[in-house]
Amino acid sequence: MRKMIYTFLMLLSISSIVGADEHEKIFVVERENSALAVINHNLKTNEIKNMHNFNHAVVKFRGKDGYVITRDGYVIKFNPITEKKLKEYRTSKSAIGFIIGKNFLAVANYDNKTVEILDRNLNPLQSIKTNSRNVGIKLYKNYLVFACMDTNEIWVMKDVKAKAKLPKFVLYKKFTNIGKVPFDALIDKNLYVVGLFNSPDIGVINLDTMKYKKVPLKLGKKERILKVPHFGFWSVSKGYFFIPAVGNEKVFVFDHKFNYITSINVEGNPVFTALSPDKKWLAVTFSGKKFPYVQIIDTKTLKIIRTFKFPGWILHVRWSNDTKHLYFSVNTANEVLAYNVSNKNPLKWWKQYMWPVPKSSGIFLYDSKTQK
Amino acid sequence: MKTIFLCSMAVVLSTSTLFAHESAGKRLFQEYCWGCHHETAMAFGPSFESIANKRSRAEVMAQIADPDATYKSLGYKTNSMPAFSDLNSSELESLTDYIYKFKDKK
Repeated sequence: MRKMIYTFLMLLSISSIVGADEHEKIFVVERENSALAVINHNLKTNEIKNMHNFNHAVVKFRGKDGYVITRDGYVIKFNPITEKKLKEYRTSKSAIGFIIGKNFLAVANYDNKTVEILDRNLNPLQSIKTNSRNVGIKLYKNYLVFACMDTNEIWVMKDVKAKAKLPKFVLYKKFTNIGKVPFDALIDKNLYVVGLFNSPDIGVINLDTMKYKKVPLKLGKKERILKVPHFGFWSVSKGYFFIPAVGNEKVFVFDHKFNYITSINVEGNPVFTALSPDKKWLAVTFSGKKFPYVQIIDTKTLKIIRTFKFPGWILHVRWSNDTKHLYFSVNTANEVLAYNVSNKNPLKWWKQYMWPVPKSSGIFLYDSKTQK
Repeated sequence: MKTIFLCSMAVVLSTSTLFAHESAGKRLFQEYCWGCHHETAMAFGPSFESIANKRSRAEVMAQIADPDATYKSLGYKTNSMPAFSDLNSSELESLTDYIYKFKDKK
């Protein structure tokens, strides 16, 4: 009996250790340091170094793998659990976005005007020459979709070896004259939605019917834009698409059929719009002189509930999926802040943690529970 | 002795003026350009390195001040860059100097 109790207690303690480790780990791009800071259990515990040019670096996870692309075109594979860099491969002189498939990575490049396909261990498989800088790379079923910034096109590539060990993409459909200067995109179910920098529209492809339509935006007079909005962060709630205006102090609201609902006047030219996990709140960041501000919008009333002003430029925000926190990357103050957002009233949200991170930029979350 | 002191002062002053000019260029880059341009890599706009390697100072300053008027003559098909006509001549010089810091050394 004693032996059984002992065994039970041992198993309980092991499971609690495993469980304790299954939590959200925060990775923060140190923009000027070629390093990825690690925040674990509310402490900055590590820096993964030698990450090349980390301006505009993007981190993504799939399963137990972490990947980064860098401004100077490297793809780096790392282990988010051991926090070790595993491998790197240079796809171009300047990369902007990537997507992780089950058995491949697709990297959209600026400088050498290609989309590069690699296997999950970063061995090159295919180079797709587009004659353009490429943005807004997304996956839908067996399709790889991206927009060509310099030629105003959207390419839909089809994986003709979808059931094989490795993919082989061929051009399935090319949309031309989509509007001027596509710069980023989001995907929501079968809708690929692209932002157009020099047209007063957004473009929408229904990937089931392969039909394209433009949705006009009531932009008004375009102001000077000092940072291109990140439309990959467009927020999609149950009822609405929230879309940051290009060069205007507005967030547009559309329903899921892209009927215009309203526009919300905000503090400055928006960069990121990020929905809370419960979809109740939308955090909006800004550029130019309004970099220090973040506004919180109630997604039910579409009213601004709180305006934060920080002692530095906010380059990124991220809602925790694991705890009731909203993280702010305060680049010029060299810190990441965690606000406790457990109160139903955003006016009562409070600063709970501060972590020193030099020239902090993008915040990315790894949770082994959700990656299983 | 007095001459050495005056020479040292002159060196200190000219060096600090040079640093101030350079830091003014970097500050302007961080205030206005950083969101679209990178010093050495292609981004939403071309890198400062590529601009410095193929443009004259006059072209760089004209493009900063009024890109809608210059982009075609510089060979661009479209223009996405806003005008910075509110920069004064000293600021334009500082920013252009900063861009030229990334020119290839031959």
